[in-house]
Amino acid sequence: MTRLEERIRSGLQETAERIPDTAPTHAVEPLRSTRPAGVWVAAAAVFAVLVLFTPILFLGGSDSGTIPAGDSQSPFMGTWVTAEADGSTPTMVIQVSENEDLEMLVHDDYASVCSGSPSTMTGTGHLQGDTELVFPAPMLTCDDGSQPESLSGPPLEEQLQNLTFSYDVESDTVTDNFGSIWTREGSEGPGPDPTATGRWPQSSAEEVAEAQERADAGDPDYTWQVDPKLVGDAAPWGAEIFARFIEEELGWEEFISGSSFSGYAYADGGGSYAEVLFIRCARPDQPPGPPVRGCTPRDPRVCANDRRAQVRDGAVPLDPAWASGSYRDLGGRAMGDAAARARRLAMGSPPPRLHRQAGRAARPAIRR
Amino acid sequence: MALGDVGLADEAVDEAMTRAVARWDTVRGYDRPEGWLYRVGLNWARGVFRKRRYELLSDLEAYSQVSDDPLPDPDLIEAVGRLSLKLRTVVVARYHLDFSTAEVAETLGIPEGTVKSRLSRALNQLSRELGELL
Repeated sequence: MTRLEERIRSGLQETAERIPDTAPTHAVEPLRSTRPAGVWVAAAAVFAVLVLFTPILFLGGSDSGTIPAGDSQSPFMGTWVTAEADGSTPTMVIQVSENEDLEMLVHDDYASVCSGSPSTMTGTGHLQGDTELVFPAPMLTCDDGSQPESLSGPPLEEQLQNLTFSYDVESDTVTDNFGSIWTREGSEGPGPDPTATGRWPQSSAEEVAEAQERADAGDPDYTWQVDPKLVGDAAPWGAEIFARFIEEELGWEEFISGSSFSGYAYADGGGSYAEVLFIRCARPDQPPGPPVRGCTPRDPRVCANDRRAQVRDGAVPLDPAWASGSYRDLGGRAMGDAAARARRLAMGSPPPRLHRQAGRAARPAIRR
Repeated sequence: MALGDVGLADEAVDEAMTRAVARWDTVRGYDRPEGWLYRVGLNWARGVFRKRRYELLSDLEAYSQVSDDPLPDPDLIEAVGRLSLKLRTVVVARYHLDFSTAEVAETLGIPEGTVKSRLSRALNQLSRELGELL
């Protein structure tokens, strides 16, 4: 183990031990163990991971205590979504068949078992008690016609046998036996995020189509929207559409950006930039705002060479897929999960009018 | 402390544990129930993150909160915190939970080669940011 790895291990360990006392009592002590050996230790580990590395987030409100009235027969009825550990966002529809069986249709936009291609899974299930839905023999197929393959363990078909979903009435969620938690579609919080579902600078599919035509014709008023930086391993934060959006829509005079503040995945791992963060800088004549992690006053990257300047007014994360999608979403459909779209691009299916730019990511840039 | 929300993490564990207890007869039969629980926790976090990704501003502000008990290696923690979620989960599973790369792959449902690739990239990024040799 290298010195860096040792530092990571000890740093995480020592930090986990400083979790505040609000941690579950069963979760604190086992953290000192070097090797988790059971489910309680795992609980501690999950707790530590979430405490240390999960952003401040707010749970969307959900009515609790009653089974939703999606259907009088079963709380499983309806459309469900989840976010898998591999980054995909499958959607599941459960409905009653003509034979009054419960049928499942799961579409995964990025299936690891299909080498990243979309997959479809179907099955006919039955209720087991009030809160469990069992599918004895689900069928999973890769949409591209390839054969799905298990990543580890027994054959996939065997692993999928008796696929079970457990319904939790309090949270109105279901958990499958692979650990995925499914939430009811449309229960994701108070209204759509404008940057996740909207378009800019166009506001409708028709406008987007027109803009696309003009850009294809080389109209400089539109070509800037077609930026190869938005695709693949290029440096998406350098795309002009971001700068324009921030300056024209948000009115920020100065900001910094880069992957250091958001992280990114790489194409060979099935990913792309999921998010690029932009942080507004304070003007020297303004009082400093609160320091931001990774962007402190002593950080030379902050706000050019003015050491007095600090970040203020927070930051805005923008999604490169959102930006590119605002232009190329010619079908007029909803944006859906932007990260998944970016991943598909990175996997080798760029839209016809965008060309991937080769090369590694550049360092975070300072823009004025 | 450069962290997120302790209450939220507490709730996440409750969620995961509730599911584990409710399905204990099944979960206990798994080869690695701790891996299942880890994945439930991560999935939960991912789900919430996806729902509220644009609340990152709050995250950054929260990270600015300084604890009375300074972190033993704040640069490391900040650097790890700057890793993408995908890289971070692999790093934590490998170096904090002490999973093998095969176990990480099984837990996260990704190929082992991807785990190694992400670990490599994570280490490269951390090495670059921390000025440590690999």
